[in-house]
Amino acid sequence: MPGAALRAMMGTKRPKFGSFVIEFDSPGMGQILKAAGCEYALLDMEHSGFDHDQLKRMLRGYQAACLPVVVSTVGGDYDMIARALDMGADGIQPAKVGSAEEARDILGHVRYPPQGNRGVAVGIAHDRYAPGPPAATLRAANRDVVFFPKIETPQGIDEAEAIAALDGVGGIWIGHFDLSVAMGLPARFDHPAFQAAMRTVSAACRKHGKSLGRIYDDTESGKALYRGGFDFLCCSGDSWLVRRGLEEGIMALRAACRGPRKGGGRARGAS
Amino acid sequence: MALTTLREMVGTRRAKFGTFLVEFASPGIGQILKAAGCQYALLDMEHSGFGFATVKRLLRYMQAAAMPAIVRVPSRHYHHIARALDMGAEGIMLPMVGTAEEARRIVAHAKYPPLGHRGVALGIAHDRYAPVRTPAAALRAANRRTTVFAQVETRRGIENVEEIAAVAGIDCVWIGHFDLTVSLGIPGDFGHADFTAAIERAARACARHKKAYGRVVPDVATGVAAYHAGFDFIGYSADAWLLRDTLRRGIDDLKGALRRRRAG
Repeated sequence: MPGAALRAMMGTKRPKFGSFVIEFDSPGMGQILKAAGCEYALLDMEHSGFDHDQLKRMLRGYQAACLPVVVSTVGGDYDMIARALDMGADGIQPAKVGSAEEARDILGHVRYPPQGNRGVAVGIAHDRYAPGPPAATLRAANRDVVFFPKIETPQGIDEAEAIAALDGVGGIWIGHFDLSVAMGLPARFDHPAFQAAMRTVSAACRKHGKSLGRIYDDTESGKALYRGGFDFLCCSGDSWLVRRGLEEGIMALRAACRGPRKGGGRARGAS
Repeated sequence: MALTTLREMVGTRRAKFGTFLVEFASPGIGQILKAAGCQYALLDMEHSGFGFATVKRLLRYMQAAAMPAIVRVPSRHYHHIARALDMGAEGIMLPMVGTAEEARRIVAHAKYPPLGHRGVALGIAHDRYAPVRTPAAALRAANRRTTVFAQVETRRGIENVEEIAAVAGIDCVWIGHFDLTVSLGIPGDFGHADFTAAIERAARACARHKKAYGRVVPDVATGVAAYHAGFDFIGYSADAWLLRDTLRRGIDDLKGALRRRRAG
């Protein structure tokens, strides 16, 4: 079952590596991420400007690479959630979930009846246009689609335990930048209060056997996250990785490629 | 002095660093490259599948970042060369240039009369939709601005490289290193004496005719060696490979660290 790959990762302790996609919507992205060692992709619809039409095309590129995709949405509105799932997202990550009640409401949009209120269309993108008994399709979707709410406010931290306890929550994602800003500690991820918030969520996830995920920028911060109970480790994002890789290469080249060329530069002028 | 145009860049032997685009046509790509310190972008139409509609959009993204762009067209046909220039490319790169005669034909496709026979449309993408006050001056400016990069990547091209470099209007000889080794019968063997002799011969031809000399390099060490071998346009890797390799490093380093932690 291709749709079950993400679900199978949920709640396991081993580190799962992925990356964040916020800029590049090209057909090759899934295979490029796969070739880099990713096990999942986190596709942003909150800040990227990607729309559902683009998402539908992009998800085919990830399916071509057998790479499961979690889609992050700007909020929990039905039209955001259900449409992203209809395009074929394997998991959904609504931003700024602040309470268990809110999480339960959004989860309703993720699940078909009787568990929820997701509108039914089968034989379309989300089930890979497959024929089949609709009841089985709905059951499989309700079982396999991963709900991965994002916590990024102090209220969300206070409610982390109740959110993690919800049946149907596969894991919790931390929006670390927004959380630090909402706590009045912009980007101060080492601050004791921020660290305490991480411990609170981590304890809640451990207690309820749920996954915990966040973006990391370098090996040191990634190590610290894993040690702190995070199991979905998301390595930076597409545009930042290209910039970083190119910048490192060009800086090294620029430092080395100046002055006279060895071998006399083949009698070239120095102009 | 900062080099802001390809015309300025082809006039100096200082090293210029850019990268190759074969995959990401997204709106932010010009500014991402700029933020990385890139001086020019090479947009590939030969292998990427990018069509002119995509190139037209991509060139605006590059202009938004003041990033000069060379478009590598899929053939030496007039309809590829003139259209790439009409979309707003500052430079065009032609694959598989084998003779001076071919090089002259390319230059004629790329330049307005009297230098060539490029068809005239003004007030469109290539002149940034500017109103035309004196068409003759606009054509002269376009002819001056347009730069031509001839790819030498066959045995025949190397045998004729002196005459190709001598053609007026050819601004840069660009080595297609993979295709060249294939043509020389030594696929991928960049350490082979035949390959070294070929790039040395092309370097001498460029030096004699005061033409720029470029290639793409997969890593820093190859780039530094290329600089010392006489190259001045150094294209570092490409969009898709930069993402793949930087991400692979970010994941593998952390995986390794976690494994060491468990073992220790």
